[in-house]
Amino acid sequence: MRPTMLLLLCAACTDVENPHNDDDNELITRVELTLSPEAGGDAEVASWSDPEADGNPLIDALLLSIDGPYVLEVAFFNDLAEPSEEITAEVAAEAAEHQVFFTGEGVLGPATGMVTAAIVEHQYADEDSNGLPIGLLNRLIPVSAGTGEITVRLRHLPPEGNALVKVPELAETAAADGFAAIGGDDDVLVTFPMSVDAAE
Amino acid sequence: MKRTLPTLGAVLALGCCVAGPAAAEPPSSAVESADLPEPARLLQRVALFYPEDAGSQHGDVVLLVEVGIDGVTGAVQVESGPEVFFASALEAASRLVFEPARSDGVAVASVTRIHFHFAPPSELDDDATMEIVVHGDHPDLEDTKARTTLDRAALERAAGQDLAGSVEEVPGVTVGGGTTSAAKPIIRGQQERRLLVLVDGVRHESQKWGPDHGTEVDPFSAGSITVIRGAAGARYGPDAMGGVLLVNPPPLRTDPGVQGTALGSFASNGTRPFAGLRLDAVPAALPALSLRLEGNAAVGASRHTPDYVLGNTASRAWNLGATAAVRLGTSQLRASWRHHDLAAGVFHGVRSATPAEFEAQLEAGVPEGAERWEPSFAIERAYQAVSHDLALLHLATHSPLGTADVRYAYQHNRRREYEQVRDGVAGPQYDFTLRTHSLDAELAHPEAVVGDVTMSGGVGLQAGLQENVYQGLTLLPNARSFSGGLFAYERASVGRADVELGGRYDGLLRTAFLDDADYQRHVRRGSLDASHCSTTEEAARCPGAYGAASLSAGALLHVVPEHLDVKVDLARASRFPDLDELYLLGSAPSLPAFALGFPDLGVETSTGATVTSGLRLPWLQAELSGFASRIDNYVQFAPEIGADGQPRFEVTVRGAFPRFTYTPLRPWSHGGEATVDLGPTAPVGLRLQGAVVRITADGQELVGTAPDRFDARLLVRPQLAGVDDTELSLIATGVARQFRVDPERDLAPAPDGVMLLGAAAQATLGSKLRVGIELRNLLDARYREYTSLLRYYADQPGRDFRLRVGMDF
Repeated sequence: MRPTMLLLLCAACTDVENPHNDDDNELITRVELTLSPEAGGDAEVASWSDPEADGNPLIDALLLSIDGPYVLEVAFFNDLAEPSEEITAEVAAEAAEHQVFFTGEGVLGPATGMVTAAIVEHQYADEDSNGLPIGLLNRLIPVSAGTGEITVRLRHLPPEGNALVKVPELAETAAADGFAAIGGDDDVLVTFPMSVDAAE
Repeated sequence: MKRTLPTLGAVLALGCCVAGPAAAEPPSSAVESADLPEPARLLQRVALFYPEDAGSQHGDVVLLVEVGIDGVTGAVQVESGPEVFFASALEAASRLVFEPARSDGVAVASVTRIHFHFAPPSELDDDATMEIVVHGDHPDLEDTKARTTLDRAALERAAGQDLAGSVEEVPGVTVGGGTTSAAKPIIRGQQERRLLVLVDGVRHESQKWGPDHGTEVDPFSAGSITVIRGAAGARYGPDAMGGVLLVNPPPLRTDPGVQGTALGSFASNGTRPFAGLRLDAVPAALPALSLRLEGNAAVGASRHTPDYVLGNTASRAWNLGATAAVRLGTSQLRASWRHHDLAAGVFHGVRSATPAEFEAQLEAGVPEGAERWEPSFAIERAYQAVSHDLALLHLATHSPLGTADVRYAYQHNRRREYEQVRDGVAGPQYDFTLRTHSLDAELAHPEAVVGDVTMSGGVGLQAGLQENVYQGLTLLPNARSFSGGLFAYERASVGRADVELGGRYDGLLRTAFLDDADYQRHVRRGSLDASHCSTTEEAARCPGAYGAASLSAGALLHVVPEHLDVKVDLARASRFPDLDELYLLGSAPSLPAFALGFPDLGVETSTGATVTSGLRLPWLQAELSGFASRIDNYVQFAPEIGADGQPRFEVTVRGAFPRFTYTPLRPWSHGGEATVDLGPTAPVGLRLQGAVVRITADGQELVGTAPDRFDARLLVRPQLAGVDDTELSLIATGVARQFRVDPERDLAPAPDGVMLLGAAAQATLGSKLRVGIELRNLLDARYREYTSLLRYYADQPGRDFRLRVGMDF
């Protein structure tokens, strides 16, 4: 790094008067969940969105039917970029350093441990180059009618030195000991209201 | 060379004749003793002979006395006083014996000012003698404020450490550590926002608001560092509420030749070597020109606690500096440039976590990932990269009007913080550029004698232009500010007492430039009143204007000259709110909080007093200082509480975080420091030091107030052949638990108190090679430091063995 020496009087520097926050950065402002019935039918999209990043998110509810399991796809977007930018492909490209976890009231899955009043069961349906789950593609299986919440957590797990942070059974470790027991930082931690309708 | 003076007999023979100043002037090249880090110190008092023809009058005579490198007086000149006492004063001055002044540990010739007070023998009892008061004996002793100067030897003991580590041994100073290897000093419980650092007379300007931002000053470039404890705004300006650090370079060489200093150190915890070199030269062909070139570098691997490695705490730092000075008659023009560069990893255990996860990791006790971390010099994300440049042009001139100092300085501070991001994201996530132009001018008038009173003082002005440019994740706006100040001070010395008054007025005009998205966010939240700002297509412009007056009144009484002094300092000082306190908007990278500025904050003002007493005997030296102040509009960063009395939360895409904002309070701050040195030069000595501070508002101790601290050292100074300045010490440092802060108001309970043991040894071999070793945390104790941000995540580093070597050539 070379030393910088700016000896000119810079009172007219316009960079001060033209502020801009660099949005080419680690920003995610929208999370989309796409539910597609495995038996066929229309997909449903629910989004958690805070386009102005001012603490007032718009949150859609997940509406499921007891009838069938669903394919659950997760996508991430930066709506502050112009045009809006989808981040999902970048996460997928770095799958060995990312994992999506699903928890919440009414969710049974690898990251939740035993849950007695689950309304849905989560299963991972993808894996990275090390054979570890990613969580961009999942199965969501309704188990009983009712209401609850599903929390979606995208965890960035880069290696530290020569040690991998994304290791087998991270979800199970989090279920047993809490997320403080696994490494990495949350890039996303959002919660959707959820309901499972009884069969007609 | 000592001049021949009239003998006592000759004086008597002269009778009523006015003897006049019989001695020659001290050489103009001699350095003023008071300007040196170690001024000449009077060792032996002498009796004054009262002239018969003085009748029964009192009289004060001030002399300028040359003190040689052997401590013997040379040329003497009368500066002021009644002529009838001149001969007696000159004769007495010739018999004074001094400890010579020292520069960089080497005895140098100097000029010191001596004050003789003559009183008629009829007014004295048998045991009384007329007084000799040496004014300007030592700046620390002569200042009306509590003040400690660390000389070159003291700074060398901290070789390889940053500024905070270099001043840690001063009573009342603690270190505010962070989650990197950088730290900042805390004086009387006040952190860097409320401290002023002056480097070579220039206010150090940086992003000092951040709890994880160290002070970008190179202690190797200092010949001395003075720590002033307490408010000093009237002399130094805004921010000088808790104290001031004066970082002064060593004097330049003035006679032809080349000299240098080399210093090296190694610390075992983190495998941290340091090397520094300074060269000073005066060309024989241009004896009026002085040159200096200096540089140093340090690297360090990740440190370790007794139980685990602190992953990603490696660092790299380097500094460069160059100075050229030319002496033109009674003036000197000096140009200098300094560059500081630091890259430091942020501890892997610091995670941007929700409160629930944050609490869980606190309860775990050992950070998650501790088993993964290995010692490494690699710096990974997250990390900080900081550079700081200081270019200075300094003109000092002496004339019948007095001594004038004019400084123009340009500072360029660049701070870039890199977070954990996807591979596709390049560059820093937080990028701060701070550009500062400053102009400081001061005129100190010549000493004037009015009756028995010697007056000294001066006036000055300070002006600045600063631009703050930020890019990155939503956090801060840009800003441009104009600042200015006018000050005056005057000191009266009479007999045993000195009284000093000072006044100053400072103003700040600042305009913040917010991009439209951030401006709208603030407006929607209600944290910014749109009527205060004007908007354009590019930005919202939000102006602010602040003004503050600072005052000081101090007195110094030489109760027993040379032995016992008492100082009283009354001071009022102020601080303008920082940009982050007004407009911060975003998640804090190091803490589970969403931070929000408060644009209506006012000027913070401290009004208080300090009383300091110093005792100096051959077998005992002691200093006791107590202070109390009230701070109006004290800005505290604390959780925002809603109307229902519950904390308010901010929902972000990364989870829900408690909202923290800046709240004005009106706390009391009080406490004190004590230092006792038994046998300061004896073969065996004991040094005790302690400090307490309380900062309370509404009956509650404020979070972050430093806990009580105590230090004890047993010193042994054997006399060994061929080895000088040998000293061995055993050290015990105790830090109490901060139990006065309500744990419900903090993010985590205060850590337990701790007793740390250490040892040190130092010596000078062959009069040239200075060596020292130090063992810190000898028992490898596990502990957390209350004043360190790291305490929320991990233990402090464990045992550390340090070796240092220095030499002059």
